[in-house]
Amino acid sequence: MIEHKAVVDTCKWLEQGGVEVTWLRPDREGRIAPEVVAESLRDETAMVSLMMVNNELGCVTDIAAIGALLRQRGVLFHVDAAQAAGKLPVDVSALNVDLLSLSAHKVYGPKGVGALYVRRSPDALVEAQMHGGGHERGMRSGTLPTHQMVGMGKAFEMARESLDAEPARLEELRDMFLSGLEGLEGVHFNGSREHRVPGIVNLSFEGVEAESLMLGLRHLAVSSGSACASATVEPSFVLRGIGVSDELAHRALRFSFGRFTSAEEIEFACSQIVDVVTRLRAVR
Amino acid sequence: MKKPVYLDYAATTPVDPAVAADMMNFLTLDGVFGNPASRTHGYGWQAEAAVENARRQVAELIHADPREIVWTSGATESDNLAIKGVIGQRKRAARQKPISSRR
Repeated sequence: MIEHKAVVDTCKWLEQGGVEVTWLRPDREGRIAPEVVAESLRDETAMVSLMMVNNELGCVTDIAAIGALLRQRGVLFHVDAAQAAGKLPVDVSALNVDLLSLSAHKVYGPKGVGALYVRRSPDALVEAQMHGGGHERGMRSGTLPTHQMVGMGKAFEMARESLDAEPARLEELRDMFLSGLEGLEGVHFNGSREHRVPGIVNLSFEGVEAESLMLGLRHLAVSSGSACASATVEPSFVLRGIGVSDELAHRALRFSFGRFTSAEEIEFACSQIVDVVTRLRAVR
Repeated sequence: MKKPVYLDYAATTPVDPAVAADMMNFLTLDGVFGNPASRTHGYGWQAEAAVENARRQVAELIHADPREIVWTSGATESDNLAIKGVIGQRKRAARQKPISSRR
């Protein structure tokens, strides 16, 4: 189970109401294999919900392969693409997706606005969860905040225009970051080296608690997982889900880069990490 | 270099200055502040046009039809709407299955 809390908690809530939920196991890279989906389908399965890019690991699941098999089986497919849209090409028709969640603030737009793609098909019907005026073809009532929509639209247009150049630039920064840490021993890479977005790197540092490391890295704003689950001190359920030991899960940090990250910042980050990890290991 | 150096883009990104500049035009009396659902005057029509243009921009990134885009408050709400919405619809349809009677 490595889904985002927004999906996990929603499904758990449905389970309490008597809906049966089948939870899928990711592979060791954090991806959901199409075969696992195929084997887990039951006759009464109404829908499958998966994330395209994992927010903690940056790994990319093969949505196209899963979409093709689900369409053939007549099962609705919902994909959370909050970390994918604008980072890699997303084509809802080619992917055979029925429902797709989008967020503005992961792609240089404002917080507080997102969208749900709902395929125009008699099979893909969605019951409103918000009533009062029948906005959005009855699926989501409420006065539309125009400036938020304009912001998301502009951000998505800019993302589309930079879909060729920006990932390549982020790849360079990522290479620079990883090679800048090569001198450091006992660093474990979490996630997929091949199937991933360039902007997210998750690393475990042997012998150094993530909490102490973050305190030491006071000149860097990084995360020990997902801000969406930050109310808990448990080690990341995502890392546990892919078989990372509790010890290394407690020693994991997520570094994520973007449009305004500079090479200078990456160099600075590497020197800080090497210094602080070396210092913390020495006083152990 | 601004410190601390921000390396948490997966949590959230700064708004692009070009995006923020566009948004400013839709708030004050000088701008397009109308309710997009107001059908009786130009304030509403202009706001609606802006919302529909944005809907097209969002649709284009994922190669969808603009009519397939439903605005929400964010991906968490979108996930809730998708999952609860489909399951709720299915339950409703099951309840409304016609019951046949033999004559």
